[in-house]
Amino acid sequence: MYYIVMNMNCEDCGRYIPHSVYKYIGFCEEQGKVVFNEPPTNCDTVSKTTMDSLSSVFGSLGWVYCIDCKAPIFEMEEAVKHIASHHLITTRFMYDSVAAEEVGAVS
Amino acid sequence: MEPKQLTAADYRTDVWNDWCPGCGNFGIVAAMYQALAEMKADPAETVVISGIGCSGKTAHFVNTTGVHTLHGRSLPFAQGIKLSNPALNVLINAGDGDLLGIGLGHFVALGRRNVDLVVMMHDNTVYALTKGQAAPTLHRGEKPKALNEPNIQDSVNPIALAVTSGYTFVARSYSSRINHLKETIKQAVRHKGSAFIDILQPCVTFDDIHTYDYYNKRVYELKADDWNPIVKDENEIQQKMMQAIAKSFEVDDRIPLGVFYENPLTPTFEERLSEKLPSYLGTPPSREKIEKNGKTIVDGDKFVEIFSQFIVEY
Amino acid sequence: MEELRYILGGPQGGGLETTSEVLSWSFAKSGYGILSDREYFSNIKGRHSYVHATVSGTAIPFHLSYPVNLVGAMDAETVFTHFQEIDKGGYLIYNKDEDNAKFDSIPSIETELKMRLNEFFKANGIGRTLGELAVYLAEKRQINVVALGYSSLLRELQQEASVIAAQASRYVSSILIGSIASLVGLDSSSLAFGLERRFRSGEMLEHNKIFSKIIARHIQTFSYKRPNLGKSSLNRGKMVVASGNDFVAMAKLVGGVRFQSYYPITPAADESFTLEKYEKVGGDHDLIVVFQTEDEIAAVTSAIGASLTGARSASATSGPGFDLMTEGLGWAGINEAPILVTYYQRGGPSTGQPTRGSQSDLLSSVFASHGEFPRIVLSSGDHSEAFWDTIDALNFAEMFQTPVIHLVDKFLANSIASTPMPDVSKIQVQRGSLVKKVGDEYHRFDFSSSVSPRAFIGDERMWYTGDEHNEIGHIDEDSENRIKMMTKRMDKMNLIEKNIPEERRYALYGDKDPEIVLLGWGFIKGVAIKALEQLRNEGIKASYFHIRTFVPFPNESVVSIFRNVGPERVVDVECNYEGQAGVLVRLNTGYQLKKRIVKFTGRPIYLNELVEATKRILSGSSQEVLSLGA
Repeated sequence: MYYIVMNMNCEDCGRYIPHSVYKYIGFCEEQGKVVFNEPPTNCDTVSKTTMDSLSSVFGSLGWVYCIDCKAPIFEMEEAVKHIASHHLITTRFMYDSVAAEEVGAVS
Repeated sequence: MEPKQLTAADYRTDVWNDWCPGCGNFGIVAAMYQALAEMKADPAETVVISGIGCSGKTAHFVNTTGVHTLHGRSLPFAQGIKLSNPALNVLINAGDGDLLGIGLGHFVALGRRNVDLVVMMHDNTVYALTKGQAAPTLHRGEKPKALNEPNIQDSVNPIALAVTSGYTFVARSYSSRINHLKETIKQAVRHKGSAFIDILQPCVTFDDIHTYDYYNKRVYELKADDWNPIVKDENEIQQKMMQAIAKSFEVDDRIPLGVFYENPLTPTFEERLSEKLPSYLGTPPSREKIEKNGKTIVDGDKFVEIFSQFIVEY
Repeated sequence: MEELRYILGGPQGGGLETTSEVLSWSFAKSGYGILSDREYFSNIKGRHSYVHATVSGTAIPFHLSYPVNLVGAMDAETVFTHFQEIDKGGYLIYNKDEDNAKFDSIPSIETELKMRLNEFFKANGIGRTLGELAVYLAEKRQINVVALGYSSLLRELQQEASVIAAQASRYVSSILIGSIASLVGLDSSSLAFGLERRFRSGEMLEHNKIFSKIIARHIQTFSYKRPNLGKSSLNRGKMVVASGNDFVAMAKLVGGVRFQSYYPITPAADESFTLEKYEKVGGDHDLIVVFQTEDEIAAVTSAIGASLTGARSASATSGPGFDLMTEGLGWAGINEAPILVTYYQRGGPSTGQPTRGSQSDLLSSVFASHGEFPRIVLSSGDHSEAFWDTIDALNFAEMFQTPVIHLVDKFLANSIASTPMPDVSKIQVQRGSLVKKVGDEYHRFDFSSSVSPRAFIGDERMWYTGDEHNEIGHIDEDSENRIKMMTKRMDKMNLIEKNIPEERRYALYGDKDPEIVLLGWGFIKGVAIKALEQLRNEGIKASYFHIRTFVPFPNESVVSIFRNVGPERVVDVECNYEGQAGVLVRLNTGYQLKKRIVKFTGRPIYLNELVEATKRILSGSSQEVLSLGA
């Protein structure tokens, strides 16, 4: 069974590696460059999130992350609900070499 | 009424998980949720104890009793809890700085006692909550991005240290191999005695060396056909310890995951206590009745009987 | 004589403990009250150590004083150290085999004392030997010198019984026991009682009985007038004869402590030792787990852990250990965890004087740990108070769900006292607000009351954190929550103020209309009360205001004392440099103590020096620094 993301912005594309905080910033694996949540017309690749790939993630990592909810998700059924609500789900984050400098000592 | 079977989701609290997106800890709590569900752990009789640091929040994310203690002190808090109620299932989640830096004395002392509990060390090589300083697990010469200069202090070998301190179950797992971690946790809980799991866990914000990629390329699982860590006879203890220590120095290119040392023979601290206090396991300190209708259970006659050595009658 | 005061001295590890215990039990058995203090160096073997005791048949003594009536010396150093403390007509028991010993060749005598001795011997034209000193004491000081040949006594014993070689040194203590028993005329059954309690049965007991008869024969050859204590007029009945450490241990067991953790430290460790000895409490199903930890951080945090599961738990420590406990104390505070820390004060700062007494940790216990949280600080003045304060402390900790610090001091901890049996039927065990079977709705830190509904770990699911938290126990940094939670917690102080009545916080002794009021705490109590008696005999009306709780503080009573007698007539009496109780008086009431008598040598305040100092204060002195005691 496939779950196909319908509204295809970068955010909805499986090859989009989002920034961990600003979801409209991301890295496009296909093009090898930073993108700013562009509409799909700019590229001809189509990416899908499948139930199979999702379940293999839960079997290996045990979690996916919802950028919209700013929270990890630990159960497959819940992840499906977030996807249905067009939340940005990921397990990978765009490399950010400067965020660490912006964090204070917090403990 | 038959209690309803709890699922992994039931072991998750609704406290917002505010670890960094992609945090290596996600895999640790995910494995815990699953392990607890599979073990049918009673939330009131399971205690997750943590120290200070990112790992400290674990106690709030797991829907069992949680005790979030002080920096470096999770182990003595846990021992007070466990020794006064040995029926509890106690899981400690603490960082490498917590256990091997500020709390190292407690870490060694627990091994000497072999109290029946599980220590899960979040091994991410940095002090993340204070901006990524070097933790005791960071090797000399390494320079994660938060450090201005490469680390000039040597690292502790957690596995070798746990073995020589007396932990009777010593394992390593990786937060991104959730099944391996989950099974290791279950094994550690089932083990009678102090169990230690060194859990490799990338810090995605402060450590640009020990990333998911770094570990994914290096880790491999110890397999039963050529690795036997179990002590079957007391004469074997030293040899199995030496074997575990030698294996623990195998790092860098290949990092072994699995049980390094398992010794079911050494008595637990609880067993040592009940040997001299036979009622200990049946009525431990937390279950002792100390009053009857608001009065002490030691009446005047009993006082004289117990403390006759101090009493002089004129 | 109304009371017998003696000093027994010898090398540490040389049998002094045995001498002191046997004599204390024997005197108690024959109806006398006794207080016996132990003074020693931070050393295992060889340094000079001594016991200073008061025995009385007219009142149970709680004071020590100089001069003493008798010095019993196990070695030459004891004579050199204490000869000036013997009263005219008093007694010196010593080993004449050591007559040739010179004070300046005894390495364990401290340089300062050697210099003082040098001056004294020169000024009085005495040679440097023990023999010459003994002659001087007999001739010039009218001291009854009981010179015994210890080695010939031991040989005599060997002829009648086979001395146990490995315990040969123990027989030296028997010499002092036997001599004193014989001189004072202790009845033989009381002496046998003391010996039996110490040695139970077997050869050593038999040898001691034989030896005491041999010694008595020798003592009879001295024709001196005997010290006469007279027949005791004290009430007959059961007495507890024990050290302060032991009194606290007994109270902890009776009061329901079932988990005690500790790290070895002087002078607290003996309490945990005693608890361990009684770990089976007395019943088949009762027990206490005594947990020796790797440090005091682990001691306090494991005790807190135990308290969360419902075990009454406590720890015992002294200054350096308490310093390590302070972070844990704050965790207990923010988590409303009941915990008792028995704090045995010794000389500080740092390692300070580890085996000497002090009252210099009052401010540290009142202010210890960062941030603000409710606490209770109790202080005990004698063995009986230490017993009942421990019981109260355990109840207070659970009733208010907050840490309780119980201050005692080394003087109390290490002195053996005879005290009437506590009436244990009066002991209340109050466990506070407990709940069970609440289920998922359980909120450990429910806002409805400042004392939260307490369930034990194992019975309900709950959360604890050292971070500021919400009602459930999860981290919460919201401003409104912070205000509510801080207010709820700190409101315990109001509850404590309301529930610990003013009369529980202090005790007032002596004249109702005093010329002078001594204000003190802790071990000052015994000597101060006795001083009132002496001052009255000299026509001075005095009273003693004894502080028993520092948090909550006896504000009203202190204020009324200042109002009634005037600030210039209240004298702060403490064993510290700064006058720490005085600091708290000022902080709590605004009154400043203008006069004070302090001592910080590590030795207790003695009756004679307190009386003299009080008189000097009455004649205009504003500060007296006391120094008596070797």
